[in-house]
Amino acid sequence: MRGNEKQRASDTALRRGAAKVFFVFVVSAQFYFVVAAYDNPHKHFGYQPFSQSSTWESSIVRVLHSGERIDIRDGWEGYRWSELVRERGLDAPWVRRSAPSGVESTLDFFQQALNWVATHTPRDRETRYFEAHVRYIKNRGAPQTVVMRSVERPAAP
Amino acid sequence: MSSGAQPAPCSLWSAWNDLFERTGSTRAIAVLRILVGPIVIVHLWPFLEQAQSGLYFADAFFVPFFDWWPVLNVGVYRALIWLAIASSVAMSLGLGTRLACAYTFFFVSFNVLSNQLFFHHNRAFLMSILFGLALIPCGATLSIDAWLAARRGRPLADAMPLWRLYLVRCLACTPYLASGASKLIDPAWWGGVVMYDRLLRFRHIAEQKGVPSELIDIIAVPEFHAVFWKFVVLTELFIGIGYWFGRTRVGAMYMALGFHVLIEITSRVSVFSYLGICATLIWVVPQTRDRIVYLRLDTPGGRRWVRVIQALDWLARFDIRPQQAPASANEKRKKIEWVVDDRSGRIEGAAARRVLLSRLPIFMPLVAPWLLLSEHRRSRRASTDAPLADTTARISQR
Repeated sequence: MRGNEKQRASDTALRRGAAKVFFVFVVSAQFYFVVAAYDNPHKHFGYQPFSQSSTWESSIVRVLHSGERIDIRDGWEGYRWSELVRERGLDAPWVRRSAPSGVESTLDFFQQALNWVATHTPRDRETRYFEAHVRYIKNRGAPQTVVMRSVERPAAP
Repeated sequence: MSSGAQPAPCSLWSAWNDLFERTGSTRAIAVLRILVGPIVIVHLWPFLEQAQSGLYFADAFFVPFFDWWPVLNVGVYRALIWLAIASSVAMSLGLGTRLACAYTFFFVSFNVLSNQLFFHHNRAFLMSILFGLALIPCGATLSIDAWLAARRGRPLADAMPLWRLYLVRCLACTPYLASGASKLIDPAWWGGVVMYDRLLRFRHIAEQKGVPSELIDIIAVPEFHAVFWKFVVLTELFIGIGYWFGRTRVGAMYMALGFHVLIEITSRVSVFSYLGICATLIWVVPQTRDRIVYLRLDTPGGRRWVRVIQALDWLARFDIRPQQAPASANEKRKKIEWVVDDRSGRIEGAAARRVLLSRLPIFMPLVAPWLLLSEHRRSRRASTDAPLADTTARISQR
């Protein structure tokens, strides 16, 4: 009888200990995300909404292996940018839009989108890389311009 | 059920240990569970529409949180969304509550983590709330599970380990604290530049929504934003901190209601506002029937109020008991029709009516300022009237 009670007390203590560890782990993880968000362009789980009033726009060209530069706005080889990249206002970058999650977040996703399109358009055998001229205004600051390039594609055999 | 929302006066360490021994009522969390079901459906519906129309996210540019995260076949994905919608309904009804809450949390999280482009802070908040509903056994009241168990003669115990509630409270106050703190240290936000600029850029949208141009002209000046958004940032911080203290909790809840209504009107935040308002339930004291209301059951007015309280006391805070008919004409003249009694004291008349109405969720937004004002007056009076001090402290603890 006494053995059973001892066992139960031990189980309860173990459960409480596990609950305490779990509690501390979850709160620490949330705290980590909040702090890490200051160094993360997307602020994942860091709760920093509406951080900017920034706007951005960009042109995109295909730079061919021949050196020619062609605007992609009207599509190419049966592809359309807006069908390949649909989310987060990246679908029509040539239209000036807001970047409410922060211009850093938008530019990071835009760079990834350029790389993704470069590696997921197998019918296109001419393009060497995609190049984007991005113009943005962070909050009410001065206009800035950056040039982004996708990964290079190998020349077609 | 050992319960207790107010920790006994003791050291921090013993309060911490105490948290893992005590239990509380799940009633308010059950109400939250009912309300969150439709919110999840509103959240999932655009994903379902996209999948139904053949626009599967994985067919276009997407960024998984983890490289090893599985990408499902579109048919499986669509089936899992339907299952999540069904589980949201089951969660609200309280049918297979634990499983329904667990699956709903699982799928909503799985979906958000499938693609970084899906991530928004309102969705992270939804994940936190669903995590809480999966963690807290909230099917013991207001559920089909409870009804079935009662029919079988084995009613479910309305008790949850209190640490789980406090863990969810930690997560629920984080959006306010993190958002407020980040804006507090950002000069562009604290100075009002961000929102002033947004208003200038998007005033045409506000006008399309019906906001009068004259009003926009008045607020479209930097001075207004330099002051107003400081107030908003401090409001966020007050909500995140004020929730934790009995004296400020009602004020924090009331500020949260106003805050969420304001951002729902001025921004596109998906389900965040609805969720934020519903999440105030997390801060309700986890006790039921802890206040006794004495009402005259021998009068039509008294009986009417009994029906009103029974219908609107969703959080089961009140235990209604008959009040004795007045024995003498002198007593009748006092017209004390309302008496609220709890462990810490007895309140009568108008003050009792205010406390009662403020604890009926539907009246809370209307009565809370009135209650806060009267408590403030009581506090001021208490500073000059020592015998009243105990009563004031008791009222503010509620």
